[in-house]
Amino acid sequence: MTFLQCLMTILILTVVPAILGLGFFDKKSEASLSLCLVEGYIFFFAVFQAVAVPFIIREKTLTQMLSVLIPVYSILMAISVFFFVLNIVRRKKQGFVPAKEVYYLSTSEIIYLGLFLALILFQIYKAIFYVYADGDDAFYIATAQVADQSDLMYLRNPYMGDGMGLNYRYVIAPFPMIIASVARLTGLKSATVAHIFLSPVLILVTYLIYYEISKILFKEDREKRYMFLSLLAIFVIFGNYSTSTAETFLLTRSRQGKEALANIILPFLFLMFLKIAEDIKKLKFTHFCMLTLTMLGAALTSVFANILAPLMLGLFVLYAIYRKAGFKNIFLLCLPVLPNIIFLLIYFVEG
Amino acid sequence: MQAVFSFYEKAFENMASFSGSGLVLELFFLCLLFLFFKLDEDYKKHMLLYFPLVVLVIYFMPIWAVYTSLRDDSEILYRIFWLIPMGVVVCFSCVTAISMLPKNGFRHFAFLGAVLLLIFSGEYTYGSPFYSPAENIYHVPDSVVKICEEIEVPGREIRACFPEELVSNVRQYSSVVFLTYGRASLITNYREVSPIQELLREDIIDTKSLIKELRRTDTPYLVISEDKLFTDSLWDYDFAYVTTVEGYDIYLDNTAYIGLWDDQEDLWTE
Repeated sequence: MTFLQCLMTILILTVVPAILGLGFFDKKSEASLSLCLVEGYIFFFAVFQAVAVPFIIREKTLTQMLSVLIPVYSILMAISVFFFVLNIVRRKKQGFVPAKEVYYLSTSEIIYLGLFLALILFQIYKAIFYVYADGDDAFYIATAQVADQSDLMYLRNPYMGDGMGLNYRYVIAPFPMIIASVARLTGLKSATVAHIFLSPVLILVTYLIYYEISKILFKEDREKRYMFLSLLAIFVIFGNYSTSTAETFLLTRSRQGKEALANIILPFLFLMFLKIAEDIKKLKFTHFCMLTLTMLGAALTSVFANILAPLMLGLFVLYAIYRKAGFKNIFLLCLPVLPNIIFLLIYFVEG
Repeated sequence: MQAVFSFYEKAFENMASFSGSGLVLELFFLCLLFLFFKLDEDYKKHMLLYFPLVVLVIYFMPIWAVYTSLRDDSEILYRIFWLIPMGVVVCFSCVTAISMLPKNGFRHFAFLGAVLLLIFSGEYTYGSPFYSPAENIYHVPDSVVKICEEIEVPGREIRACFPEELVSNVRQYSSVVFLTYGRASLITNYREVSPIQELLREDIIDTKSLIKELRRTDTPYLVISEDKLFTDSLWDYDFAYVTTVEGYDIYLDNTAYIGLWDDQEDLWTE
């Protein structure tokens, strides 16, 4: 593993999603790097799902898929940067003056923030330098390794190696192909990409989502936000009271699609719901876009996500009806589930 | 009636399995009760209190009985609980309770109390026996890496029989090493019985039967723990000892062809 390979992997897994997220920057609000990365990751997942599934169903190779995926991401990144610059220019023309963030931290804020950061670093350290013997890695990482080494996606039995037909349960949720793609582009083995790079990055993205949630719950009170985040990090570390919890999945299976569902997609949906619920009668276009991308990105993680994510959105739609959000807003809240319906149809028809 | 009773029995079992050994679920319900009295009727109360309660109601709805009766993987029903932001509810409640105290040292002690509460309610993830220091950047045993490097043939796949303790790791490192039996044979629920696996579990391995199975499955390489005993020498059946790697002996079938396939231009196409 060379320095260049490490740098490339980190760039692909952080800078690319961050640039994709710039396009969602709201001209009326503060630019937030954490929100850029979070929304960018959702966009990253959604685009990957939209491109990968047709290629896999048509039994194309990983190389063929990447030959389309890379230009698509490149164009989308350019568009994101364009809209970001456009928004900045419009803000300046409209005379929008963002509230100055007070960067002076009190002693207690420093302590709680320091504690939170230390706990995250501890979790990232454990993810990189320790192994959790999870049997599902024998499927998911092997699937990625097969795709990288043989160029075939879901056409080889990951357990034994022999040829097999497409299993639509996994074909429509090709999260391991992200690992395979990064491995192919960087020259690293899929296992290295999954354990050393993807795991820590997804842990970080999860906490960024909770950071954004804390901003909504506690507004400008930084002490409470950092206290909340520290407690949350401890809650996660001590979340192994059952192997089924989202917290256990975060720390022990952070390179698998199911973990991304439990700790990125669903918490991000909750974040979106909090944002929309603040003023539910004013559903923004960016909210609608983000919800649609989230539902599409959810499909990447697991076939059951096509039930869970729409169920969560469906509950929010009921809430919107209760809050008298208006027919147009309720209709727009229902539309994002269309990709999940399509994938479920594919699964039930072909699977 | 029986079906309904069976469904609710399974639903409670699933919930009990999700709540596991700690007191977090009880703590969560306590927090919901606290938020009910503490929060004003606004969107925060709706999302942090009523939303989780509605998810619990959904979980116990009979519609899931249809799902559980139709699906083999119905044990994953617990994933509905992922819709509930349990950590957010618990930690928000803790911070809200702490904030009720005056802004002085008491708050920080209360924070310590909340930390201890979370520690004693839960279970330390890194204390699990399944955690161990990584031996390399691939997070597979070093023995797997070295064995694969020993037996890989550039330009083609090669099949090998590995011991059970290594089987789950081999193809995470190398997809050109095919296996005689895979992890599917180790999973209780989805067991595909492998004759070779059963032979390898014997205290003294029947050499003749093992060799017969290895040749039937076109497996040139046998990887086995160096302290395993055989009824006969493998050499008597044309399996030659190659080397020992990290406590595992590697044998190669002298009758097997392990060169490149001349008539295959592109090895990986169907």
